[in-house]
Amino acid sequence: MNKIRTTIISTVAIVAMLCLSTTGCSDDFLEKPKGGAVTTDTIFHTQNEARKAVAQMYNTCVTSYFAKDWSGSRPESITDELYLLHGSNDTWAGQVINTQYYVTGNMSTETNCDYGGYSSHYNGIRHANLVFENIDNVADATVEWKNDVKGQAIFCRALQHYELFRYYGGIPLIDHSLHEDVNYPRRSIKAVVETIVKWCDDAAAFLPETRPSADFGKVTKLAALALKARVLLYAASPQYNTPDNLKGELTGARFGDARDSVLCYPTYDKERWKAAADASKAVLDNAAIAGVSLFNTGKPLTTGETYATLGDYESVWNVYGNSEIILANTKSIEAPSGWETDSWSLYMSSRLFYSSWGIKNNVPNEFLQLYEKRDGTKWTLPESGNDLPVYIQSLNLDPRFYQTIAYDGMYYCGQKGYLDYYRAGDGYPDGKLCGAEGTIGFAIETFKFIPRVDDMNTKHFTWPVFRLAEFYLSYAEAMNEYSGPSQATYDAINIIRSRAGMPNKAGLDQVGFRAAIQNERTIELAYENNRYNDLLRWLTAPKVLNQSLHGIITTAKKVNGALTRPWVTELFMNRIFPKRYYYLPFSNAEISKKYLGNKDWNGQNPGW
Amino acid sequence: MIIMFAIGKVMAQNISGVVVDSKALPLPGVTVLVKGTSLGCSTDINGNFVFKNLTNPAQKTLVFSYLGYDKIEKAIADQSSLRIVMQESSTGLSEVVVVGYGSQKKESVTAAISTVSAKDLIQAPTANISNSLAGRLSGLITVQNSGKPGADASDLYIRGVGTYSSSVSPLVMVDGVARDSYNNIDPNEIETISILKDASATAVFGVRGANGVVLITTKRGKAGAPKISLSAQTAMNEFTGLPNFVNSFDYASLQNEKSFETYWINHAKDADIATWADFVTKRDANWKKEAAHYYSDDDLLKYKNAHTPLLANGQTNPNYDPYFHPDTDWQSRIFKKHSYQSQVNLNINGGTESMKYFVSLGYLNQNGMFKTDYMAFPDDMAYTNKRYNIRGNFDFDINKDFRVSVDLGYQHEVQGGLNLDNEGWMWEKRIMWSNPITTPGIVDGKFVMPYTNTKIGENPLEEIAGMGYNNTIKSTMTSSLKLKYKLDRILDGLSVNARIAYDSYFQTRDGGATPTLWYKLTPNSNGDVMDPIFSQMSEEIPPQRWASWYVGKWRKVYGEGSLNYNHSFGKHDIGALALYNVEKKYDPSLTPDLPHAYLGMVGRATYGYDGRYLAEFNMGYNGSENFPKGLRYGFLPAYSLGWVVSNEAFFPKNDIVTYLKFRGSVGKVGNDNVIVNWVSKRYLYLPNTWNYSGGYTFGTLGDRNWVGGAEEGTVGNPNVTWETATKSNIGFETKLFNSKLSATFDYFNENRVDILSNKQTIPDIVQATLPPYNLGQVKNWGWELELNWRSNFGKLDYWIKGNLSHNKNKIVFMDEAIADGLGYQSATGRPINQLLMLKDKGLYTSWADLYQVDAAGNPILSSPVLALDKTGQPYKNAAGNPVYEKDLGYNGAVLQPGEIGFEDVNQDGVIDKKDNIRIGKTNIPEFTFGLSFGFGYKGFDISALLQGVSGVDRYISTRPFNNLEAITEVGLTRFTLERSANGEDIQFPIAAYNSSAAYNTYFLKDASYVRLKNMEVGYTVKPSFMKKVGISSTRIYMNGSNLLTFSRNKIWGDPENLGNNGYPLIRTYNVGLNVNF
Repeated sequence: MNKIRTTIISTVAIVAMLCLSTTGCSDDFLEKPKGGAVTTDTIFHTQNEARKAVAQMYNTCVTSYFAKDWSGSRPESITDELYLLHGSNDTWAGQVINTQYYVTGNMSTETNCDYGGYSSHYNGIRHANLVFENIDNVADATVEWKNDVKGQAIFCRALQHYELFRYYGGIPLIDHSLHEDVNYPRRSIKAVVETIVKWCDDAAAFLPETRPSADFGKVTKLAALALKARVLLYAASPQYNTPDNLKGELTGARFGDARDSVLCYPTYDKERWKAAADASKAVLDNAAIAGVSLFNTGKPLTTGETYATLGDYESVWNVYGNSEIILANTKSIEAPSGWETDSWSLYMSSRLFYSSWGIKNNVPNEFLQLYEKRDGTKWTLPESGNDLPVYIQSLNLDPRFYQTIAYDGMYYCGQKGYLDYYRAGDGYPDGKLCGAEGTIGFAIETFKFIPRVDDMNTKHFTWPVFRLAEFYLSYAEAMNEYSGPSQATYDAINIIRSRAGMPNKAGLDQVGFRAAIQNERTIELAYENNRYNDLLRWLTAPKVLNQSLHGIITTAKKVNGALTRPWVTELFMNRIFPKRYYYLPFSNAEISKKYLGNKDWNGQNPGW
Repeated sequence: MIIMFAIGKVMAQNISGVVVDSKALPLPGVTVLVKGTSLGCSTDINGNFVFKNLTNPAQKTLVFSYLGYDKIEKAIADQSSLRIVMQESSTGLSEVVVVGYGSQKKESVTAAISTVSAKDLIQAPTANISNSLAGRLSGLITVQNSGKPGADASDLYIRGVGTYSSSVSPLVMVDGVARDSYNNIDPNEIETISILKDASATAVFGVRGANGVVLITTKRGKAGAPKISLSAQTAMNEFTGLPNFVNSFDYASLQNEKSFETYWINHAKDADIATWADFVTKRDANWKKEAAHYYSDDDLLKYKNAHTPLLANGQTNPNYDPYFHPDTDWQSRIFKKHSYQSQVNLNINGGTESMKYFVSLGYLNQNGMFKTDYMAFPDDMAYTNKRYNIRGNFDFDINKDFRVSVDLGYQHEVQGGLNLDNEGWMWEKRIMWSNPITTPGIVDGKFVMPYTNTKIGENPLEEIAGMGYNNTIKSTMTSSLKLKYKLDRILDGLSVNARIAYDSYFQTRDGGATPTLWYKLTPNSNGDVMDPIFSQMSEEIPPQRWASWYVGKWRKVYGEGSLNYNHSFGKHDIGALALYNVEKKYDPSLTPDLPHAYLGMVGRATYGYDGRYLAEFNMGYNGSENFPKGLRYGFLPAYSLGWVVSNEAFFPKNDIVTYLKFRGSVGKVGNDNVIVNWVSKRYLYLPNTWNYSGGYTFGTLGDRNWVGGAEEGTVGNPNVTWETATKSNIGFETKLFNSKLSATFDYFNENRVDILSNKQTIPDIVQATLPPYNLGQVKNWGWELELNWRSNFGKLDYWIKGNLSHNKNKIVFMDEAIADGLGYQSATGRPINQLLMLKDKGLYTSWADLYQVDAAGNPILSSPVLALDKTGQPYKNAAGNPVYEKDLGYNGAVLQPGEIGFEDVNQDGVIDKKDNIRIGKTNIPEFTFGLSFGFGYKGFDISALLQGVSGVDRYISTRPFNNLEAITEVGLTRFTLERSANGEDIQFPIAAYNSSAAYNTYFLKDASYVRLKNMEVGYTVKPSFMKKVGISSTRIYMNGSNLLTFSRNKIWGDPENLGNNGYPLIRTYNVGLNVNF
């Protein structure tokens, strides 16, 4: 009896347990508990959350393309401004833009020089589009704030489309966030330029003229005008707006049929230069109201290592947030996310910053000679000399040279003293900046964006996206192309030259002024990521990037008990620039997705 | 001895007997049952049993069963004393097979299952279970990547891999509960390990079973007097192989050779080079100047004399310069020759009618190979893996219908040593890249770096010592309470079960840092190289120890309830199972940090007719939290049939074929574990998610304000569901030649569909992080053969077991973007993870391969050799110019003899990424085999396991001459024109080979191997004097693992982890003692 009762009780207990657990057999058990995941609604519900999406929009869209991590060299390493060393040990230094393939003529569809890569631009564009599409849902923000954000989002979208345009030519235009079913082929140059210009106008309508200093780094109306001016200047240039007499220069970079609409305008139109000039003029005219002006205190020369003794040109990138900056990448230094941005940038940008390690960014002799002498004349570098620093100082070059280029024996600053790039000789061991690895021992590199004031504190310099000087030069260039030299073009170029301490230009014909303005732009905007497109759009790349580049080697020598630095020139390399380089190739993977072109054409650029 | 009493009645008689094995040795612990009753007992230490006052003995039959022996039924008839001889079963395995959520008679199993027993497992003196499974089970692939104590487990693959994007790891069940960690279980606690291979066996695991299942069953108590088993063993470990490195002289000479060769690469295209003579003139004038590292004749002489302080005449050797021209053998400075490990286990098992127990205590101490005497914390920085295991499995029979089982397991692990968290990197950069010329290492107890050599390397001893240490302490507790109630009163053979399991895990870490103090060595101005000047280069900071901190934890609750039915009537055998289970895991490391849930129902129905026809139905009905409402549950069924031909009336009784069974199964299993970028993805159906990352700084200097960023995460996939494998299996089992030979063969075929994977054809302009979609398809097929021979020559018993498995797979569909004309690069149609690389056509062995040569063999640069296309004809490039062999360097790189030649696959005259093709075997072996054999003679036993794989390739990514690293003996086999002309062995291109083109088949090496995985010699003594002190038997043994290895590419390292950077694999020699009380 007892046993039977035990049995019954046990059975009931077990069955009850089973049932109890079975009642859990519903979706509820597997439903995601609340919390844990953030969705679009969460971000665009409050202003405080939405501003994080805005911050990230700047992070993805407003990049300065300055070396930013362990694999990113200075973008100028593919132009004649720099010669990055390409021993077997250094190939990684140019990885992001595939420098080693580019300069040897071996760039391929998988190794193009787009900084960040094709998809990074559309990543920024998607982010900007998402911000634009969702910002109206923010519950606790004013209409003014939302409109301001919309203006910033349109600007960011336009800026990244400009980046694509400058690399590839006509590209798909994306003004909303996409899902997977897409049919957005490459668009014509005409459509791309018109669209970017329209977006700049739209953005300008939303954006404020000025911002409080706590918002320095956010775009203003003037930044939108600046982007518009740059795009219109490019669009007017021979690469896209090709006069008949220059068409032969682009053989190999054209299909010769209707597909060319993604590469250039169908016909030359001089009025495009007028539009470019007007857009630059608009930047200059609107500068004052935005609180932007040329940084000019009347001090062309750097005479010491304090802010007060810096030349005006050097001050432009050393004085944080100075008046000349229209838009800067303010993320670059000192982000809490880490030292990588900081240290690696400096490491990749110069050997002189850390001395014993760092990438050597040599400046080719061919580029050095683009700097005029102080009197405005040209000079030629001899094959060799007795003492490099003595020689270079004796040249009395454009003051901007001495504010940009570091050379063996130069006095840099208190912390670094005299720079030692020489190779060992006469009992002197290799100079601290020479390096032990053979070819590294060249004597010249650039120090632009490497601070020397304030004990080399890196916080103080600004990496510009747009600064006002560019638009004086753009205006002068466009007006000269439109109607030849005039008082207005001379005023524009000479305001830049006189700030730098150089004599005025005068009395030139259109061709002569063209040469002058191109050289001025090269020097004034050196190492600011303009040279690549300038060479392409002027059609001078096949000449400048097909030449042999040389460097200077110094060897220590004891003369009367003192160190001297005799020097010789030596070949760096023979640069190769195939015509197909005018437009970068899309990767095989993108081509294979068959959306860039049409049914008869896969969308790839000519020659690839 | 335990005797169970029935209610006594008259007409009773005492029945006793003895059970022995085929060698007439008594068998203790044999279960003896009176058939048709619940009366039973087990034999004592001398094999004796007795039933007192047994009613009507003449009508009764006794059933004798013992694990690993054939079951015997014996009618008592009129005997009162019986002698039973039990034969070891020919499979060597229990007749009962563990299956998912239950067990079955082996004869009635229709699924593909392989089992290995404890005896084989503990033969391998390895620290963890996975390593002892290699070669033991058909259909199981094991790959061990590291020999580091505590991190030396093997990866397991059951029947290869069937998916390219999700997890490929099998589900591991320990005693019926899914468990994340099993490797830390003491092998002495384990009874059997089974792997479930086909759908019939795994369907009950539903969405978690597609990759196969490993079932681990621990030992349980048997009724009888307490049996105590004590085993202790100690082992010596050494590396299976560490590369041999070249000395300073060879190193410097080879670097010079490389620089010399590099000159051609850098200057072949110079404008002023028209002829070879021009080049030679220019090279000879300049190559030393341009050398990345040039070592002068004086340097070389000093390197050669680095170990010769005195000349033969006893005078000081003027070329002896050990500080500035050292020759340091880092491997002997860094590593010991041997390390030791020891293992102790004590277990007790026994029980009474109402309570049975198995309790085990284990201890393992495994030591690493690093020398630590020069470090600040020598004890802490030495690798150790200490493990303490406790297990108690208890069965309480409350009454004859009600059993309560309590299982408790606990593993405590302390893994310590150098802080090598980024092990691969450390290993490569600091240990393998330690070249012999950099520094003498430690001088007068000081870490030193010569001043002149600071650019060419590090001081590895200083680097290693400076890494500090950490101790990882892991505690894993597993517990389970199981209730089983027989409901024979309601229905014969019905029982109800319930189980609750609770597991928890906690991990902490402590550590220490030892900032090293190092010195610069500069030559003394007095010119005495033996008296260098030490300058202190770093601050002296005392070593620090850190208090422990939390690293990880989880807890898991599991509940299960089931109804079981097993009954035989007439010729019908019927079985059924209905089971319901739920699981919830709480782990803060999950993203997002929300508990992980599973829920499912399991069903099984089995039917057997007359032992001839078998049919089985299994199903899993599971829910997974990863999927949206409506798609959350899935029904995964499997059907199987079996036919035991040898039980048919028409089957002739004979001694040749004594048993023959055919069986087949087909069914579906799922996989819900989606892994993207090494992270398991959850809640894939959620709408567009956002993450907090990035950010931007606004403001001016002194007023900078950082705003954290937020960006879009993964876009939702509202239709996501699991991937499904349809698996079919056909096989047979047979016993031949008087059951001396048994054989099992299986052929399997798996079709995995709806593989959750990313679309690769979405244009980059979209830039949404799209979720995985159910779109891939993979086929996986192969076969397995197991053979088992057991016989004897007189008193010498011997056995041979062999298994051979084959698997292949093919991606049927994968959404991938392949450009027109590059179809040969697609992964579709090819094995999972087949590499995409350049195809080499061997080395260029002379200048004549590249240019016409003159009488002296020098190239005529104006006359390059035309390259030939696939048809053997010259061809032209896109520009219409003829293609020359010299231009076929990767991305236009300059070629010379000794460089690797590449196939111009697309015939466009240039070698670039378009010439990459899918090629070679994958790193999952296609064939695996194990061959074990052994014999016993009187007390001696010897056994061995040969294990091997083939159909496997591995890519070598760490090669000599990459940069500044040390050069291994592979470097000595490099190509030079001279070595080639002399016909010497060449395993490597020239020293200056183009390393940026190294992703090619020249460095894809066949990693097949055969190894003597284990070997054991034992001697068992059972002298009577020991019985007096309570010892029934004592066995002493010696065994080893990874004793011998045969492979084609041994020069590159151990084939099992060829090309792997990290702690090498270990060879073990072990001696042990096992005492049974």
